[in-house]
Amino acid sequence: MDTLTLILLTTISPLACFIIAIIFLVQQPRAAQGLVLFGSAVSLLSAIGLLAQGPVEPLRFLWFQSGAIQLQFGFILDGPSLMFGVVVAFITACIMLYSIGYMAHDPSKTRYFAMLSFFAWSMLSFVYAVDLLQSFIFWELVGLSSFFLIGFWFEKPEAAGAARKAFLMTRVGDVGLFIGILLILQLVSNFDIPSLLDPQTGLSTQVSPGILNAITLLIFIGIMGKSAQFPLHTWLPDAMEGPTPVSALLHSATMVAAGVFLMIRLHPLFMAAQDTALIVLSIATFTAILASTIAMVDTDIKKVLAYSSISQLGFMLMALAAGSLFAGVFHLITHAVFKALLFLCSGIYIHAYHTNSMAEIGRSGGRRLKATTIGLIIGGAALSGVPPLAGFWSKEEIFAQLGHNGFNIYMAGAFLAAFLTAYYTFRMIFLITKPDQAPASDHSHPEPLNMKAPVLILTLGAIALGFFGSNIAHGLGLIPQHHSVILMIPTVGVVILGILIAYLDYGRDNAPRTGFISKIAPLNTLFTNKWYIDEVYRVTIVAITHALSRILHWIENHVLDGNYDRFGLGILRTGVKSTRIQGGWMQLYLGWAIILLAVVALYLGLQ
Amino acid sequence: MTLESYLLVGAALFSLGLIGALSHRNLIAVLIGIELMMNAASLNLMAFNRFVVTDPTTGQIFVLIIIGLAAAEVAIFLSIILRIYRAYHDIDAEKLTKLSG
Amino acid sequence: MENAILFAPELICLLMGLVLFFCTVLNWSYRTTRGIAIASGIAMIAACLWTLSLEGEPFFPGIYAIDFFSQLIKTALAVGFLFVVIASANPLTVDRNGWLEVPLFFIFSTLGMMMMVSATELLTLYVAMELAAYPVYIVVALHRNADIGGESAAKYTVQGMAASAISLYGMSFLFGTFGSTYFSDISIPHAATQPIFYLGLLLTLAGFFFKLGAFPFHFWAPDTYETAPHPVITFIATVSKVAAIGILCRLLSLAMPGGWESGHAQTALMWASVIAMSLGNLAALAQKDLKRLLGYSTVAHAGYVLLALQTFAEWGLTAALFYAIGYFAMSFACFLVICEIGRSEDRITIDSVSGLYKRAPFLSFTLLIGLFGLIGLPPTVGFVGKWFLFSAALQRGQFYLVLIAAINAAVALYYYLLIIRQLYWVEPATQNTIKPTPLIAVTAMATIILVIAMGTLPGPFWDLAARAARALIS
Repeated sequence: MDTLTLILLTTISPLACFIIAIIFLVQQPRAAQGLVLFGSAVSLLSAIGLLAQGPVEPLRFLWFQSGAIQLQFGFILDGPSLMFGVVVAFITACIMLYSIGYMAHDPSKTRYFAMLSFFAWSMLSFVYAVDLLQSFIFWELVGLSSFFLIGFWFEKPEAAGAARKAFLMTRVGDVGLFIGILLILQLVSNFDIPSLLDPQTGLSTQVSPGILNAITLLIFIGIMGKSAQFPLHTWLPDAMEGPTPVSALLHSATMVAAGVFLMIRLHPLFMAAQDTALIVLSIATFTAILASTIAMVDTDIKKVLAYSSISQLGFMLMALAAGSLFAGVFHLITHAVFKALLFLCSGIYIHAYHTNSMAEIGRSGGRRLKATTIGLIIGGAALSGVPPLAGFWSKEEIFAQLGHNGFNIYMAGAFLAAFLTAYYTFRMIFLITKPDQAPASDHSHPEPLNMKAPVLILTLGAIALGFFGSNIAHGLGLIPQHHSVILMIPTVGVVILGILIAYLDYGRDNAPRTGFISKIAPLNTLFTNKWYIDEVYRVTIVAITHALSRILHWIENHVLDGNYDRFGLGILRTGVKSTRIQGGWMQLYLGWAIILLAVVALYLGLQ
Repeated sequence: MTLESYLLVGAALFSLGLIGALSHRNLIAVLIGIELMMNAASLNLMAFNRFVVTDPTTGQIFVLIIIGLAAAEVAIFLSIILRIYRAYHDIDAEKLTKLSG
Repeated sequence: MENAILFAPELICLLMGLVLFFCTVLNWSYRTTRGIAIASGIAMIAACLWTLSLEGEPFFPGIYAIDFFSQLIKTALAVGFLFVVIASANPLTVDRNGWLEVPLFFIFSTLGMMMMVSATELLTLYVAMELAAYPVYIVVALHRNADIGGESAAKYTVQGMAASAISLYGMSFLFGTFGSTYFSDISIPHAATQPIFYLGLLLTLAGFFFKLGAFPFHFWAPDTYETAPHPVITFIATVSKVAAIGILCRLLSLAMPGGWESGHAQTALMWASVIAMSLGNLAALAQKDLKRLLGYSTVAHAGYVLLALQTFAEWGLTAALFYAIGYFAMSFACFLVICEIGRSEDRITIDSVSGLYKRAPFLSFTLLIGLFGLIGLPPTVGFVGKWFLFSAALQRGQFYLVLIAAINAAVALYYYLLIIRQLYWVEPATQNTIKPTPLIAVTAMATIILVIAMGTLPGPFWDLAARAARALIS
């Protein structure tokens, strides 16, 4: 099949399934489920077909043209998009398979599967987008569909709140991104990504370094929102209110990865903007440490995994900002696999024991679910970076790159984060597999096959993927570098240290079962309260909003109306009747309009 | 008489009308104020017609039509006032503040 | 005969208006009257499409122009009239004695707007503007509660009449400056340097700003939106906005190319745009009444449109026309739902739509699409339209202006999202389902398709708008 057919099959088939399912199959959830799964399989096979064909020239189509301005859409088929496209399609397919079991008894299954399909379409189209505006459109659609998926159980007020928070917070980032794109339009009137990146004629040669720093920084604000980097990260843990397969899809492998992928896409621009790269590196390192410290003390398995995602995304951005495209892509891909695996495992536990608490799962006999526990251990080991699993190789690359470029402080930060990662991961594993009291009675049923199968597949992936590093480097058009074994020693060292301390704290018999950090009370409080970031937001942003409302209210009452007695009611708190910016005295409205006109007329007269 | 003097009278009329429309509590007085503003426009048109324009009919036609439309406007506004009067037994503009409660 | 063909949409509008008048005289049933109104809407659309690519100046050369611009806007107006009549299937908020008059006044107001966008002479423009306004003054007063109706009509009417008086005073200065009322004379730049001209232009714009709900003549919008009967406010929020944007395009196109574009007029419009969008969005944040909230949102959208118009460029005109049609579809989607769910409620608060998803899935989907459009999310026309508006300003190098607009668009997300939350995530207070009639369902479907189609395939619509803008400038 030719490239065009394949790419159309990859991207359009989820969309077609979404439309058919949402319009015709609302009453037949089983048919919808089958159709969506089929569409996802088609999409996966075509993506693999594209990858097998290897990189080709981008395909471009005219979307809109008027005069000098033209907007195009199309597909960029180079190393990163081909490989990540397969990863997205693959993870989506696994999660759809898993969802058949997980959502078996949900009344609105059609809506769920249709939205998954819609999500897959937007994410895949984003990955293959050739035009920056097209990227932005699908970037927004990814946010929109995750808004619906996180809020899928909209009966739960927490789910609704979380969906709104996620949407609003990522939109804060999106404004930055949008302004960055507008700036590019203003400066070069060109959105074609390959030509923007061109080293001879691209954006970096046409604008001054200061402007380039500004543009990339604005784009990075968007990435911060989507990839949950400090200070825009607080939506991600809350977003765990959605169904667990959704968490696995959105918050490990795809949606949050969109931010990282945008940075991969525009990597040359970030490399040309030195200042931005340094800022990215700092924020990413800080986020990696911050998120790991919170994960150290949290007790909810999904929250731990969520913070771990934030931290690992920080690792990827660190790698990219330090200059290694390969390390970033490699870690993105391996992380997608083992984090999806971990989320799916946690989903099985939650499904079986109806609790999110790790200690509770352990006490209920979590280890009896054999396949899941194996998946959890392998995935956890891969996340920690235990050789020779996937995470080890990709993290190794990141350390090598940081060391290579002499970012010593950041390297130290990365080691700290890696140590913490190993610690909190094995804390999780020990809490589940070595409960403090023997499980009461065995009432758990074994996990259904359609939930077990994706776990097994992903487990294999987490084991094997690390060895394909050189293939990925080739796919990116790079020559893989071989690192000496000596360089790996410190990496392995911190991991072993982390595991050891986790064992001492939680794993051994008669373990204290409290983290070492609890001995340092202030830090423990800080971490348990998530560094008080939500509280800071509450104090600052909410206070500003209230002040603004009060000013508006004052204007309403004193300037526009004159009803002094209503002053003092907070504008957001009061009922329908008094939330007016204007009073009712109509002549005052007119008077205001006239006064303004008079001022303008006076101004004109003086000119 | 020069053009300026007519324009000044027009401006004075307009301002008076505006002040009337803004300051009066009685809706009928407000209406009268707005009519004054329209008359100011008419006076301006006639003055320009007399001093500036080559074709003398345009301004006159304009003014005639304004007079007609003003009459229609009065009819509409009076009917609205009637409706208000039936509901409130009062046509004080300041009392019409239900909407902003 | 040729003149009659050129004038066909207005003629049909007028004739059907007379037929509707007889319906009220003979006191026919509302069903029949509405049926006739729907038929006349279809006939008007047909006539508009028939005359779409005709050009000419019927009856009186120089004062009334038929060109692609006017016919395109007329088509939109005719479609808007049809949709609004369909949406007012159960105008329970209107005084029962006034039901029959509602389509009658709508059609005469539509006639006025049609003539307004064709007018190329000040007097014609003024008369058409008043013809468009008077019927609306009356229908606002037709609320079933005499106090609410009278009060909101008085507010709307006083401000409308004052705005048109100011407009008229401004027109007298334009007449004085150029010695003529013909637009073809007004567009000559030689006289356009005197302060008296700027004063005249500024005052003239007041009346149209009032119609558009743009700063500083926006004060009526929230009050009237909140209290006017639902079908009436649907008419004001959709049809009348299209006409207002149309006539602003016509007026400002006089300044192009190379006329009196730069300088004070541009500065004034720019400030009006910035203040309107900021004020509208900030004020909307605090609203609980759904219609009042949309009233403020309309102020903000007027600001976005002015952002494109103040560029005084062909691209800006095209973007504004494109957005006018898109805005019509988006806001109609919202108001159609309001008409349906609020058949018997005077006030629609945000709580009224709680859990609408369970009571009326299709209607809530329609509202959702309309809100997505107003937010500016892809793939709706809201995104593409805003993109065009913003890029119009960017082409003039007004980056900071666009920055303000982009931040405003982000702020707006918050209050629209509040509505969406109520729609989908809050339990309904009552369980009675609302089932739209097939006709209304089809209309809602057509609106949704328009919103999505203009967002995904803007090309053909843009070409229409561009052709209209070219017709204006040449």
